Amino acid sequence: MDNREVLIEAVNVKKYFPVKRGWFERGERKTVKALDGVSLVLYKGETLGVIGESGCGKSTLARVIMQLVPATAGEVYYKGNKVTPENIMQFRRQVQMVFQDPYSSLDPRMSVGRIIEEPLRVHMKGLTAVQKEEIVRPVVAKVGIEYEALVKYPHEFSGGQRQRIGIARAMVTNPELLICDEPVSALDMSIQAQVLNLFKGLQKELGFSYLFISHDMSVIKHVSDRIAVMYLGKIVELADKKELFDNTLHPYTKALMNAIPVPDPTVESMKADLTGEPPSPINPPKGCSFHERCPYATARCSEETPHLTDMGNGHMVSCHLCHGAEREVENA
Amino acid sequence: MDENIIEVRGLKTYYYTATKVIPAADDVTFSMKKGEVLGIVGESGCGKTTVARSLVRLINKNTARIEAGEILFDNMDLSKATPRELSHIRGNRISMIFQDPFVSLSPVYTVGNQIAEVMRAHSKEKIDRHEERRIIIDLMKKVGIPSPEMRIKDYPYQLSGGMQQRIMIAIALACRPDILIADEPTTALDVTVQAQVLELIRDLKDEFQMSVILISHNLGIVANMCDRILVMYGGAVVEEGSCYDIFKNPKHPYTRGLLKAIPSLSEDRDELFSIPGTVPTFTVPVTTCRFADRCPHATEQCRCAEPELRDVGPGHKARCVFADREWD
Ligand SMILES: Nc1ncnc2c1ncn2[C@@H]1O[C@H](COP(=O)(O)OP(=O)(O)O)[C@@H](O)[C@H]1O
Ligand SMILES: Nc1ncnc2c1ncn2[C@@H]1O[C@H](COP(=O)(O)OP(=O)(O)O)[C@@H](O)[C@H]1O
Ligand SMILES: [Mg+2]
Ligand SMILES: [Mg+2]
Repeated sequence: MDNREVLIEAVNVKKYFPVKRGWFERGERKTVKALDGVSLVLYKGETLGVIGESGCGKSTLARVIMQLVPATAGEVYYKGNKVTPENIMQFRRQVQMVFQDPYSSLDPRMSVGRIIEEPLRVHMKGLTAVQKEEIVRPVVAKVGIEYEALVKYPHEFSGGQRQRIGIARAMVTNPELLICDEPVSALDMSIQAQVLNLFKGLQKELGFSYLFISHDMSVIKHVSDRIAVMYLGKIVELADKKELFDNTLHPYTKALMNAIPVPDPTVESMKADLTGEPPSPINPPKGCSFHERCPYATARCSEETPHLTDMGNGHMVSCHLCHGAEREVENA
Repeated sequence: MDENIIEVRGLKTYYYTATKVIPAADDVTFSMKKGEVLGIVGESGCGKTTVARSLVRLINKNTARIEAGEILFDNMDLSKATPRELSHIRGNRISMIFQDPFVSLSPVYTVGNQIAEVMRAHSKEKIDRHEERRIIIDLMKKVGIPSPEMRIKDYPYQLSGGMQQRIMIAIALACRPDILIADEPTTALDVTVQAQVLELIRDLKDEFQMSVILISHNLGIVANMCDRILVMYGGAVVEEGSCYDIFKNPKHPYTRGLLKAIPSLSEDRDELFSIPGTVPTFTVPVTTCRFADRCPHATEQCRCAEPELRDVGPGHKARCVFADREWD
């Protein structure tokens, strides 16, 4: 499996946001640890799913990889080269983003034709109108929007169609990787299936790789080859999809899976294994960030921070109890 | 357990916009037994909230009108009740909780005050301060708020989304209603918190012997929570049945399509079944099957008139002329 080409590598990426301090508050300046040491690899042609509850840092991860916000620490590599301000334009042509909200992510004052061409104006300056049409026509055909409809404005389209427009915009520079941040979360169930089929179809036809973010485990399971589970700014488990489901290791992943309501009254599901809610990333607990909610936590868990460790087959987990006697590989 | 606690017959609620009239709830008929959890499920805009709010006449008179229908509750027709009678019923006998607890709570009062206010508004005898505080703390404990003695002085913004929704539930239950209407109560919450809040609703339903109308777009939630289910599409009930029938023996092509469109956790499918087209909004009058334009089985017959919601099995109804056929 390791002869696969690595597209993206993130190494120990951190993103801390300063918290606004009240007028009279003194002492140490507080920070939100939105990402607290995330390392991952994304291979060419695969879909790496990222799942976790709101606030765990999924969008920040996407934005840091896209270099839309500077990382506090850590590096991002694209095909082995560190992404820097000097080569960022080249990177952004190869790596495009699809956003969650098909309403606010499209400029209401632009025709959708202009919206879809926008990346061409940035990355392939000087194209003639005819050249642009040659690029845009097949792309919109692939996402299922009529070329003639491009004179219209975003509000004239339904949510599902707007998401297709967002995907077309991300595709026109012929990128290798699409980073999709909750791209179907705002869509109705019947429309979500259409858009998920579109993502899969495009991958088959054009060989796209995806970093696919969602809070919905059934969506993530459907699209992903490998899945990373995030909790409070960290990846707590990462494995091939089948492995993750057949051999779930981290107590948080287990609880997350048990909590999903399965649309089948004969299956027992939607179990409330956990109490409480994720703690604040402003003051993450000492030790394992999950220990306060973990039904199995021991004294060690509240003292010592576990590291993401390969348990074999590329199944990584960050949990003292799962590690047992296994050798811990320190994060770089 | 056998008597109907509420019966709705032929409810029609229409929205009036500048250019059209939208039949958001169109001839909705159903009944609910005491102690039952009734689910209303469907995609956004299908009329779930409109039905729920029409039951207690919480709809904006400037944009919407209840055109027809009877809402029989406790020997009364709520559609003919006076504003006074209605305000007594709301909160006392029928309570509602909504999707977004933060907008339903007042930002300027402590959560303790907000629970107290509902209790005072709806209780007949006067309760002294100490007794009131004890009842509130009890209630907060019941809905799973840790250290309620401290939280009682908190303002809503100091609580997480899950805790806010628990406060909303506490407020809704303060008067021990007969019916709790929960409109997407966990849609704003994460799935681990959602499981906790829904478990709480289930436990309290038993303890308070309530009936619950649970509205959700999430088929997984209704499958886990409900005894009976109404499936809505474009303002109309297209299928009604026991939870088992809806999920294991669905008869309407829309219900069948939706069930196939959700990615499954237990099996891997490369391509999902997808219902073509978009979720429609209708205008009156509706003269076809509402699902005809997206239905793989539609014929001329479906476009001539809207089908009746008819019996397709014991306690099972579907609004489709072909509902008896075996597809697949
Ligand atoms: N610009 C910002 N300023 C301050 N805090 C932020 C900012 N963006 C995100 N955060 C915080 O970082 C954490 C992770 O947020 P986010 O990446 O959006 O999570 P997710 O996408 O998983 O819901 C949250 O606690 C959020 O409040
Ligand atoms: N204030 C309003 N003005 C005009 N139309 C409305 C209004 N509220 C709802 N509607 C229409 O009524 C229909 C049903 O809405 P709603 O009951 O909110 O559906 P749901 O709760 O199932 O999402 C929708 O098609 C919507 O367009
Ligand atoms: Mg996000
Ligand atoms: Mg609604």
